[in-house]
This record gives sequence, C-alpha cells and structure tokens, in this order.
Amino acid sequence: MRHLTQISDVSNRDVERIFAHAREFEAVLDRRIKKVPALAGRTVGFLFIEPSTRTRVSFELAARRLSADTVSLAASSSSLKKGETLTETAYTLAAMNVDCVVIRHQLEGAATKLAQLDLFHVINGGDGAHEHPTQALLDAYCALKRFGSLEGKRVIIVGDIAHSRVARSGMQLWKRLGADVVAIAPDSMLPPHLPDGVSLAPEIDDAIGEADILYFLRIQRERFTESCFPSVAEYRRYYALTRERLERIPERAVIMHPGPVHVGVELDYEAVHHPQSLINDQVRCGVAVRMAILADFIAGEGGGLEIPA
Amino acid sequence: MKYLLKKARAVCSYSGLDREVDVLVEDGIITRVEKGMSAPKARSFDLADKLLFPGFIDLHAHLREPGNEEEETLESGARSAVRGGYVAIVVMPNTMPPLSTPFLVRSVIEASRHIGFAALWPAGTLTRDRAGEAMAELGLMLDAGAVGFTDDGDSVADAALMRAIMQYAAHFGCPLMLHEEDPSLSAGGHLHEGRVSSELGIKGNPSSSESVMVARDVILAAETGARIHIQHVSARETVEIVRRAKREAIHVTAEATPHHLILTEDACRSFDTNCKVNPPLRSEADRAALVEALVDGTIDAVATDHAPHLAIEKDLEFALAPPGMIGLETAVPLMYSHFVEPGILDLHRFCELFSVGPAHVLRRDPFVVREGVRANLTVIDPTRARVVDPRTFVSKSRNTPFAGWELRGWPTFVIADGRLILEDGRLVEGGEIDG
Repeated sequence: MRHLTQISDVSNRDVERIFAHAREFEAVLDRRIKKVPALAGRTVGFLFIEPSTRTRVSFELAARRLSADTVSLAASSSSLKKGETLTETAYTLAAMNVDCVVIRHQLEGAATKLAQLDLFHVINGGDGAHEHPTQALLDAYCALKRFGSLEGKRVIIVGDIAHSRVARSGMQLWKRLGADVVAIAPDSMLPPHLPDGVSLAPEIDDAIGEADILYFLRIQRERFTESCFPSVAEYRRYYALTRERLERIPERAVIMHPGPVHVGVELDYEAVHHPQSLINDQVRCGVAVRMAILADFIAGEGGGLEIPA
Repeated sequence: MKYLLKKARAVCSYSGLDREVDVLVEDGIITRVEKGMSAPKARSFDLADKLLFPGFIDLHAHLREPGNEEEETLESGARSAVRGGYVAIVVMPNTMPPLSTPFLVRSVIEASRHIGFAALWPAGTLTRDRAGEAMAELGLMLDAGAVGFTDDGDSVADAALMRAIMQYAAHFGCPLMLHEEDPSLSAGGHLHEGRVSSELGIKGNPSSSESVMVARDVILAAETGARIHIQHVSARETVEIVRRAKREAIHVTAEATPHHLILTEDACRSFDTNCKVNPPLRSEADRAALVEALVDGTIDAVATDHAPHLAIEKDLEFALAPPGMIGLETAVPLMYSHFVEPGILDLHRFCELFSVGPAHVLRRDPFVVREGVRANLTVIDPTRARVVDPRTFVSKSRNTPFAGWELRGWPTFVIADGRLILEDGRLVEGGEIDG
C-alpha cells in the first residue's frame, strides 16, 4: 500500500504526475459545481490528534470534491484522550474499512507508525517537527505555476528551521526540483545537520537581493521559553520581512509562508498583502494539490479518474 | 556433586591461563585444572571447541521488582541472566520503591539466595529515595550487602550533594556508579542530537549532556578521592575525559553497553522504539571512540543496562515510549560475534570485559579458573550460530532491536557459586544445591 509520510516517499515522476492532476483539479475548482467522482464510494478518515483548522479544511474540501466519504476523529472527540493508543485507533479505523487516513499529530513519526501497520493509505498532514509533505508539494506547485521551472531558482527559507516540519519537507523537495536552497536562521533555530546541498546564509539582507522565493516560516511563540531567541523585536530585526526590507526585494521574487502568519512578527502586514505575495494562492493550490494526492494514492497512479470536461 | 568439564579452551585473564584443560569441580570447589583427567564418579561434559571463562558479571541490570513485576521480577531476571551466561548481576535500585534502605537491600540478597540462579548483587541509591536531594544511608546499606551505589536513570544534578556524597563515601571503597546526564541539557530529548534527529525533527539529547557531568564528577572525584564508575558511556567526549582521568590516576572506571558499541543513531531512523535508550545511541564517530576505548582499557567492563519494557509500553510514538532495551540474553553472543570474531578483541580482553573488569569495578576479588577456589564458570560455544528469537527469552520482556540477528558465542554452561545452573544452554531447575 502506498503512503505519503515523508517527501522521500514520492519520486520526481510521482511529483510530475500529481502536479499534472492538480492542474486539472484547479480547473474543476473554478467551476460552479466543484466536484468530480474520482473517489466516489471511498472513505477518507481524518485523524487530527493535533488541532489544525487550515490543513484540515483543505484536506476535507479536497476529499469531498473528489466525492469521497469522510470521517473525522479529533483528539478531543476520540478515545485517544481516554488512553487508547495510536495502534488501537488504527485497527479500529481499518476494521471500518477506511481507505485512507490523513493524520496530523504533534509527535514525530506518528504517520510513519501508522504506515508501518500498512492497514490503509496514510497521508501525513504534519507530524511534530518531522515532515509536512503535502505542504511541500503545494508550495512547489504554487511556485512552479509562477516560474515555470524551479531549475536554478534561489529559495531562501527564513526562520525556525530546526522545529519546522514545513522546512524539513520543503528543503528536500525544492532541492530535488532543481532550486538552490539557502537557510537563514540563528544557530539556535537550525538542526545540527542541514540536508545535503542546502547552504546557510548569515544575513537576510545580503541574501534577499539574490532570492527568487522568499519563504518565511511561522515562529512558534513557545520558542521564547526554549531560549531560541530573546525577543520578538530582536527576531524582527534580523529575520522578519519588515516594511523596510520589502523595499529591497527583487521584482521577480515571490513571498511565501505556510500560514497562519503571525502578522507583525515574521511578516509585516504590507508583506502579506504585497502584490508579490503568493500566500493566498498557496491556500488555493493546497486544495487542488491535496485532491491530486488523495486521488493518486487511493485510486492509483492514474488518479482513477476521467475528469468530465 | 562432582563435575568434570573436559577439553574446553580455558581463558582466565587474571591467572593468565589460556589452554585446553579439564576442570574438576568437587563440592562447589575447583579441585583440579589439568589436561586429560579422568574422574569416574563425576558428571562429565565434553566441551571440545567450547570456551571456558571465569564467571561473567553484569554491572547493570534493571529487574523492576518491587513495583513493576509485569516487566521483570528478581526471579525472571536471575534466570534470564543465567541464560545469558552470567553468574552474578548488579541490580539497579530504581524500583518502586527504590532500593534506598538497608531493609530493601537485604531483601534482594535474601530473595537471590532463595531464587538460586544468578546471584543478585544489589546497588543502593546514592540519594535518599533516589530523589536527588539528600544522601541515602550509604553505610547501613553497605553493611546490608550493597555492592555499590547509584541513582541510575538519573544523575545527581546537584553538584554540592554529589560532592558531599563523594566526601562521605570516599573511604568505603565501593564504587559510586554514576548515570551521567545534565537534565537541563537533555530535557525533552529522545535520541542523539545529530544527523538523525535533524532528519526526524525529534528533539535531540546532545552528547554534552553526558560529558559535562562526567567532567564535573571526575573533577570532584579527584578532589575527594572517591571511587566513581561511569555507567553506560555513550559519547566520545566522555571517553576522552575518562581516558585522561585514568592517566592522572583518578579513581574512575567505566562501562559500555553492547548496544552503544554496535548500534548508532541510524537505528532510530525508522522510529523503532526498541532503539530508544538513555543515553541515546549516538553517532558512528562516538561508536568508534567507544570501540577504541574498549580495546585500550579505558572501558573496564561491558554492561547490559538490561531495561525490560512491555510491548504495550513500546508500541507508541517515539517520544512517548520509555527508553531502554533488554540485554542479559544477548550481550555475550553480540560481543563475541561483533568483536571477538572479527579480531577486534582477543579472548583475554573479552574475559576482562565480562568477568575480571566488572569485579575490579566493584573492588571484589575476581572469579578465577584455579584450583582451590569456589567454581564460578561460564562456558560459551563459539561455533554454533543461532538467530536471536525474543520468543525464546527467559526474561518477561521482549524489547530488543536484535531480533533476527545471527550470532555465535551463545552461553552453554554456567556454574555459579559451585552449582551447575546452565547445562547445554538450558536452565537447571530444582537447584542441585551442594557444597
């Protein structure tokens, strides 16, 4: 059974195929009736142990627009709170013939653990600081729409890379699609080892002028208590896309962020709503890419679909 | 009862013996060590091609009783140890309640006598109730039979308390066995901070959490004259500190586990919770440094850190699973297959690491293969390969990452305190107690 627990689970060929389907689904999303029968009769379960609104809504819309039935288990409503283990929950869902489970979990490896049981397709909707492969795919798709190709494009990823599942999946995929990836963060926000080929730039101001994609990560406020940085003011001074820095970004460059943005922390209001910001397009692409992923993993490589014209 | 162990190659690094001999054990005493013996009334065992050593000692086993008898009991642990080739094991005191009173220390010794398999040598806690706040009744526990003291599972974070304990215990002679971990540095860490933690996004436990504490305690040991023993060394920085301390004649000894000597952080890449241990499996460079230390004598003993956990405790997300793996029944064949067979360790060094070294750490007279002493002997089979199958374990737990590994060097005979308790790989039930 195929699972998407980490970005290395998909080959570049898979990525191309998923993106081709996403383009078709994007067209579907512009119609008045935004639904195709690709997954009619299939059931997608949502196991959101870590609360999430955006990712969950995006996945739910994706599944429903493919005509799948959906069931949700949130941490608060499930027996997980009562001490049932992930393994027991998985067997329960499997006994109910769920075809695919999208899991969001605050602990690293939770999606892998489900996938190792191999009871249904598992799509990782984010596991702790490990990976968030669908976010990486939708980001790449969104950037590809703008640039046509990522070959030689420079992506700067700014912020708390050590604790970011988005960065962990993203750095690998950007590299694989030919981009030049530069990490910008203080050492306290970097993992001890960056993936091969990812370079490090000490100063955002030096890097900004050469960048095509300015990718900003969300700052988790709890990082203050872990002493990763001293204050919001100091973080903004060195790592935020402030109004002042916005003046200096190249014309060709785009601004991206996985959301939700802490407006006024990592990005200023003006940056979020800047004409070069792709942030809302990322959300839009998210539904189409997740439709393509669900179709591809559940119905097979052809997506199991003849999309009606 | 008389036993005649015939034709084994006997290796005793303490007495210098290394040749094919017959060993006669009468009423629990080794009475003759010579070639080509015959003893008509003795039970005779043909041990051609086998290796015979002075009895093996494990410095580090968690037996979970009292408090967690589902995982392991004193009895299942004592039996598991014999199956693994040990005549005696040091029992860690982090039970519930902890072995922190002379009464509890004595009760383990009495239980051991009653159980009758491997001898259980209790270590008492360093601090009262293992709470890290005040000194435990070290002298009274020593009188009750404790072989050493440790808060294993935790370090003594308070440097002033550690120093006071060292000052008080300096004249005892027995080791203060130290789990070295600065809790502020390791907090929240579930595996080694390094390449794999970077990939998996799981918060790491840096090598410095160990080495910082080792440096502190070596300095305090030098200052106070206490004997300290560094448990389960995992980091290359620690190796360097211990090596230097030994050169300066500071009273420090050290142990390493088979898992830290064989596995690295890479084993955690698939989120296998059986590879979650504390201290964590570290990098290949750390492992290589440990092996070097094993060869050059910086490491005095191989110890298991046998830490039983139930399947239900381990079948969890990596961060939620408790650390630890069992080791009593795999340590000897793992070390034989991975270090003696490839020629990294010779049999003398192997004997030191499993028998003479642990005795030295505990400041006890070593077991020897020599006429006139009580028989404590371990025999292993270097020829027959067998696959690790946790279902065959005597331990009540199965948490090992070595299932399916093909190994040689499995223990076949154990004589502990004069009694034959392992015969041809099988536990001898009913305790033929004599002598």
